[in-house]
Amino acid sequence: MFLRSRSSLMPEIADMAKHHRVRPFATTPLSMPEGLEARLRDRLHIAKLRAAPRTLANRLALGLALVGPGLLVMLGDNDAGGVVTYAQTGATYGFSLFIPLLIPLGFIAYLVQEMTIRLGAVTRRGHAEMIWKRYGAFWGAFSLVDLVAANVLTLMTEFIGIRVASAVFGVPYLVTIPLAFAFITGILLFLKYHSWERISLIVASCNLIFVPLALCAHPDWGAIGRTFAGGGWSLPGGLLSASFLVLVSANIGTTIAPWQLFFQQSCVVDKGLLPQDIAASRRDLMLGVIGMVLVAAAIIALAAQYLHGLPNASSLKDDDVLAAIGSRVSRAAMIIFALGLVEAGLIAAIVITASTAWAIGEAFDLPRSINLEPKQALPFYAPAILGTAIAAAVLMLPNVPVGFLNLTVQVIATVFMPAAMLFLLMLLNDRELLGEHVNSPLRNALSIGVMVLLIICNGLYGLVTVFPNAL
Amino acid sequence: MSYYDKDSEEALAALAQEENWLAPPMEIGRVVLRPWQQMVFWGLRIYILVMLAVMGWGFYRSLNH
Repeated sequence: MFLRSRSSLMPEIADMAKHHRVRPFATTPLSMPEGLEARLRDRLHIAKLRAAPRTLANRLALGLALVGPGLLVMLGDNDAGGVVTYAQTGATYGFSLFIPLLIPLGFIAYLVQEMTIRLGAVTRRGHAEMIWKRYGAFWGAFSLVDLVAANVLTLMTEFIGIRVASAVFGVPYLVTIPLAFAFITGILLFLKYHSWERISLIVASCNLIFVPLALCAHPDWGAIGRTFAGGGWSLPGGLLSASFLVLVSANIGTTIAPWQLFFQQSCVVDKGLLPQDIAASRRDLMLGVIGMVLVAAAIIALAAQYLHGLPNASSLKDDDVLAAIGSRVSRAAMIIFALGLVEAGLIAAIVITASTAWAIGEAFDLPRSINLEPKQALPFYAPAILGTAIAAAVLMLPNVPVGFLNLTVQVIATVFMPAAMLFLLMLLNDRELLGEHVNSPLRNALSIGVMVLLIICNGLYGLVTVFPNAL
Repeated sequence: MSYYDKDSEEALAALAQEENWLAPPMEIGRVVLRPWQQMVFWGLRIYILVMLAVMGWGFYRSLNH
């Protein structure tokens, strides 16, 4: 009674079946492509936990089974470039408005990313596929080119972090970068979604290492508290100085970026989350946002306390940050910070590589799921791995001058973001697709406000860059 | 008896049916962007190009100072 002819399968699955070996079940007449079977096994695990007695252990197990996309996207967001951006922010402005600013930035991240949960869970389709199918290949190609270009640049900053941090441990970058690349591509290629997600979550959880590091460095709680009451809000150079505007843009860019939209929606789809899982996915996202804000605050506070006043504070690079922490805090702190930097680069490279794979797979209507084996889905995996390989290869060149990329790619993310958000908003207001899950007017107004804020920040930055004395 | 009480293969089949994994999904029909929407998107393309040029200029200047 469960039999479905293959021709009646949903297009994505039918496509997978067309391209790949379909494994019949031994005891039932149902047959399905392997990618779907693995997804269904994940769903069955969740269904069993939901039906189990509501003991604390079962509820914890269910909570753990449902987390993933939200935590990964927000902790992956605290990438190596982001870590250096936060350190540079603290070093340049000390205990300033950037610490309380993290709270509205967290809300902005939640506002934007929550929309991808609804879109993915209701339509069961990834972001690139939605744009491509709804608005056509012309606009789809635009968004895909933005995404892939920004992803390759961002991946370079991840490998910068790994390269610089590995020097702290005396390991040559010619060893650590290939190892990191092998790990990133290995888990993507050879693990099913569930195992890939669990390993990625373990790596992501190490992002929190910056919190105990900052706590052990005896932060000035009074100074941190005063930033919430206006302390340190008057900035040298003023609110319209180029250095302030670029740091504001970079901090926003570390919070929301185009890859995050594509990643979370595709991740929701590949995990098999459905409308009944939206509430749990929102909790997953909120946990990720809290983690992101805590880590960012810890790094800014650490840098504000120990690196503020450095002569080159506004142009710190990864190695400058590590050296300053080593000399001004302790060698142990430098080692922990370096470990955090490696982790930040690794988790971001894992999720960004996956976002590229999913987006290209969706755009070109390829069989697309981390549940698929490499031999079944080479066109899905290959472009993403190639992009990551290019970024890794660039960072294996000696004396490659890409340190400036850390801040630059964060700002580039904010430049690409309004166009990406506009597609997201149009899709989220499409009642034909989302029904009751469309955006509320308040959410639309807030989202448009974020887009306008991004454009104003970038516009002011552009103005003071071209005309330094204009403001 | 719920599907989670059954053996794994049968449970998978029941779950696939209950959660509608085997049915054709909703069609995503093509929507043509209205002229004002196209204008906004082209404006954002131009904005991206201008900002990338400005950033290039800014970093070129900072490298030479």
